Amino acid sequence: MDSTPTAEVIDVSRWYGNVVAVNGISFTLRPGVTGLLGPNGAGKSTLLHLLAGFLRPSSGEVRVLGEAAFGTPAIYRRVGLVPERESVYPYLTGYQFVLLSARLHSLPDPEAATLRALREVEMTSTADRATGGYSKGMKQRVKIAAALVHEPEVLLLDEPFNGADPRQRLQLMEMLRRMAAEGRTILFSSHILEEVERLGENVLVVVAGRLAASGDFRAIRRLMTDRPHSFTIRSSADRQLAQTLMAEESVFGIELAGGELRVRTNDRAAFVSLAPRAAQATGASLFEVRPEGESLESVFEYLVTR
Amino acid sequence: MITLVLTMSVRQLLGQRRTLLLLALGLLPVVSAIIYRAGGGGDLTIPEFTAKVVLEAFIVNGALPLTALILGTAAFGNEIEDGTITYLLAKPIARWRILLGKLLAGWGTVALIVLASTVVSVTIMLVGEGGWRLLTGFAVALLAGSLAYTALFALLSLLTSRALLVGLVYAFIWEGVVTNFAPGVQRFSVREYTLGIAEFVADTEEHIFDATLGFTFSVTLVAVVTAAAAALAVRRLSRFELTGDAA
Repeated sequence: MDSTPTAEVIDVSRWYGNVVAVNGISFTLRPGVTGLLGPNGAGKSTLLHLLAGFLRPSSGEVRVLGEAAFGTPAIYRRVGLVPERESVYPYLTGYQFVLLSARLHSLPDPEAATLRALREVEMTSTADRATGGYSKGMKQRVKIAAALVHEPEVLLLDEPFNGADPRQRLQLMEMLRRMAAEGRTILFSSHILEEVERLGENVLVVVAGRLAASGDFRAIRRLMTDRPHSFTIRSSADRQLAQTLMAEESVFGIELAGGELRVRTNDRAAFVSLAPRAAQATGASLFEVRPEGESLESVFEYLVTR
Repeated sequence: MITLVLTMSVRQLLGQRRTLLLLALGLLPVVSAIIYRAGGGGDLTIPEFTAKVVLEAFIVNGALPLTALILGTAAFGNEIEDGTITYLLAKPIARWRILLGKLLAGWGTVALIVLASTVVSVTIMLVGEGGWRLLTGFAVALLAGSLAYTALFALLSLLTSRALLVGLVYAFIWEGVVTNFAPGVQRFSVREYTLGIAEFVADTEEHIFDATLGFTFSVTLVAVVTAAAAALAVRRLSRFELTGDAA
């Protein structure tokens, strides 16, 4: 696979008035699929818009295929964008919508390119219906068809799986994988960990406008899994149970307060089976074992604070 | 490419519900002409009523700026609002071509609605009476006026999300009120350029309507306003930023 960067984001910040949306971010994109992961409001759309030339960096530099992304319409010959908003021209059929895109790109055979793109997203059977009557998932697919009608080298997709059903999701993922295998650079944003896990070879994790982690997804996933976890336990014999748990290697902190135990462990999976065994050994009855801070946001926060 | 943007934009403009309201607005001068011819004209002669009421009051002061405001701001405003502007701008097209396509679409649609209303109402007034030069004069002037207004309002839609409000203030407070009390500012009024051109081309023997600016001055300013608004709009399009839904 070609290792030349197709896009470079160099120490880029973007702010709106006093609000900092993206803060000193640097990364490069290469051919393949990269997932842009982060909670809502983290700055994913801002980053995609910066790469798509729809936002000017407040500081730093964004280059796509060797050109400044902002103010260079010529890059759109080689770049495709799928915006997050689902609006399409409601009076156009799916075929007309994609054909318009092909014609605006001045493709030599726009009709053939349109049919090929519609086939890619499995929309040929519904292409003669007005897009105004499409479901969210259908709009998403026809937008993707319009963005890839000119077979771009770089494809930027903002939350592309929103509204797609599980089968469509798999089909879109397969299509993006295929395009990446052809040597294209695909960057897609998502706030859903599983989507990125299933598709992204590489991942960029963005939290509160900063790049929290980047690189191989498996390494980041390990980082997320190996992070400290907290459990709250209520039992019939908290003190005795605390003593038993403290002897375990995976437990590195216990706090007894307010009639419950707060246990910190570095092995979440092991602790889930360990807690009942420890209770049994102690002769305590477990009333509740509750994991804490398991939201995606807390995982991201951990990555930022490390 | 310009033709593609133009046809797409005309379809967008004609497809919106607001355009139907504008067609209804265009009926007002027609209704006023019918009422006059049916005997409700008061003291004004046919040429005076045609010029002062039908053409100046209803068309130049009302239908023209309102139609241009609604369609001119919609040329970009609607697409910016719903985000579909990205489908047009994420293409390797020179921004001046996009602007030209949009401007021609807006101008054509505005001129079509305003001229249709003008031709029908003036025909009702002048049939059997003569004085058709008045229609020619206003038709030419309305073509020029609608071009300047459309360019101005299209630019406004690229500058602010409150283009409709700002345009209303310009058309009805600035042009409708302020220019009546401060004669020096008439040179900053598209309405005055329109009347200046109409008076010259119509070449009426008596001054049956008031134009404060001369023909050459009016034509020059229509060209300057249109060119300046178009140039600024191209510049704005070249640096267009999607700031509405940043996250």
